[in-house]
Amino acid sequence: MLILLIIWQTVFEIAVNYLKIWKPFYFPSPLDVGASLYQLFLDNTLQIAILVSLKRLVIGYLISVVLGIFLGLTIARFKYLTENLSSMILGLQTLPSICWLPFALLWYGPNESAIIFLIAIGSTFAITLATLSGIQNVNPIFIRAGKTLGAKGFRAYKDIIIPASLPILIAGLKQGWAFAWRGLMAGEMISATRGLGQVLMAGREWGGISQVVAVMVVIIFLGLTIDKLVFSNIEANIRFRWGLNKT
Amino acid sequence: MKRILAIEQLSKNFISWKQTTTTLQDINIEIKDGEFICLVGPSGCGKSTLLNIIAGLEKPSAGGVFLNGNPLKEAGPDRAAVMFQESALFPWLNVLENVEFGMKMAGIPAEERQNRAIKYLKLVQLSRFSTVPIHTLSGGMRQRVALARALAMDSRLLLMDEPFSALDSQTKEILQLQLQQIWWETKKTIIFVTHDVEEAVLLGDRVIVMAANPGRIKKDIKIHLGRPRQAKSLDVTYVVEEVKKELREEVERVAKAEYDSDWSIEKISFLANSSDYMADGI
Repeated sequence: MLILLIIWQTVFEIAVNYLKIWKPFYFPSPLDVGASLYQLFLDNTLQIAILVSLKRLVIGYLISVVLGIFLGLTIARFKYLTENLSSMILGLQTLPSICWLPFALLWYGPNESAIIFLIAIGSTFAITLATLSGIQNVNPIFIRAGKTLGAKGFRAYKDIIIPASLPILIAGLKQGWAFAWRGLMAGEMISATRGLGQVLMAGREWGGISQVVAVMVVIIFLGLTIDKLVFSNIEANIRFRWGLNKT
Repeated sequence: MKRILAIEQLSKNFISWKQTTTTLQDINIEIKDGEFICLVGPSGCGKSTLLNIIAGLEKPSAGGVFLNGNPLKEAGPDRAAVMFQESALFPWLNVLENVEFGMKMAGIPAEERQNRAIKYLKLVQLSRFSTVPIHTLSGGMRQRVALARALAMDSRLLLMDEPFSALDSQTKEILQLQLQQIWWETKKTIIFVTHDVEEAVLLGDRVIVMAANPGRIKKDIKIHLGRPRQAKSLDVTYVVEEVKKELREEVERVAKAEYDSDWSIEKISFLANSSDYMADGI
């Protein structure tokens, strides 16, 4: 980490100060970014932006989790749907969430709902796909054993199929979370009055490239923190239970 | 003893593209309460399919299975407890939760099912490991947990599909002894599928020899040996040879289909038969 910072500063010194091939507003130094972060922190811009963005992210993401798992379960349940919809869902997942922006603006106008829609639509299909492949990869012997033990219908889903597909499902939830961030940024950069994406764009408009990088650093930091605190814990827990850590 | 299970004129066909395969043809078996039945046969004779039909996991094409005189519909706890070849334990649950699973599905209150689960874990000598995750157990321990889970279902009928075939021979012997003892104590009716004749003779009151293409019953042999039986003891070995004679022709017939047409088992007997040379050098 420290080494990366030193390299960054060195590149800045050589390219901007010494060779003068880049203008200072093309490429910020880590010190500038630090100063900019501190400034954003002092006037509370950063804290507000983080809270607003996280709120949107959590709402949108929760919607996509519910919707994605529900869609996945439904499609997996009916053979006809599995055969006909799987490739369509895969296609929809490759579509970047920003492509939905025109719809979002058309349906909701440039407001909170539009951003949440973008977040949700960006991550839903990733979660649907993971649910699908999770269910398809359940070892059939678990389902047969479950049947002889009396797990049928809804109980078979709740007590066998969903827990058995968790290792794959959790990977999909993680991927969905990453897609949710992309949706959030797409939405906030274009139509928000507050939030991290808006602070980033404000940096661009007012010529503060160090502010842009500062926001990027914050996003990376938040992403890593949440991954460590939430997903990695759940994943490690499941891997331990299943004994997947031993090879 | 009263009859618990009757299989009547049961057949099973698999229909694939342009071709119908008869896996089971006209199977008739009657099983008395508390009997230990072993099904042996070459691979492909449909013994596992038969077990699955008895369990209700597959449907017969014709004929039926009657438990206490009633035709059976779906798989479930009121039908039979099943133990599979590979451990079908749920890796997301610990040992105790696995044993409790069937009782949980049946809606038995938490405290009662825990007591009962511990009782069955004690029966298979695993109560020390009740809170352990499944993956930390050895193969033999897993099959014992699976046995406890099946026993905890409290059904009269216990179906076992080659439960010990993946275990090493020492573990297998211990488990065979333990199973005999548990069967003795619980008086369950057991149908045990295996390809191992020794195992069948060791465990069964009756050994049903099956033949392949189409799968059918070749011979129903009563084993009149005292218990507990020890693997490789003289009387067991003698009966094993008798049953193997029944099977040999059948196994060879199946094997022939997998070799070139001029193959026969005599041709590969290149080693001298030791009994022919017993008195050599005296």
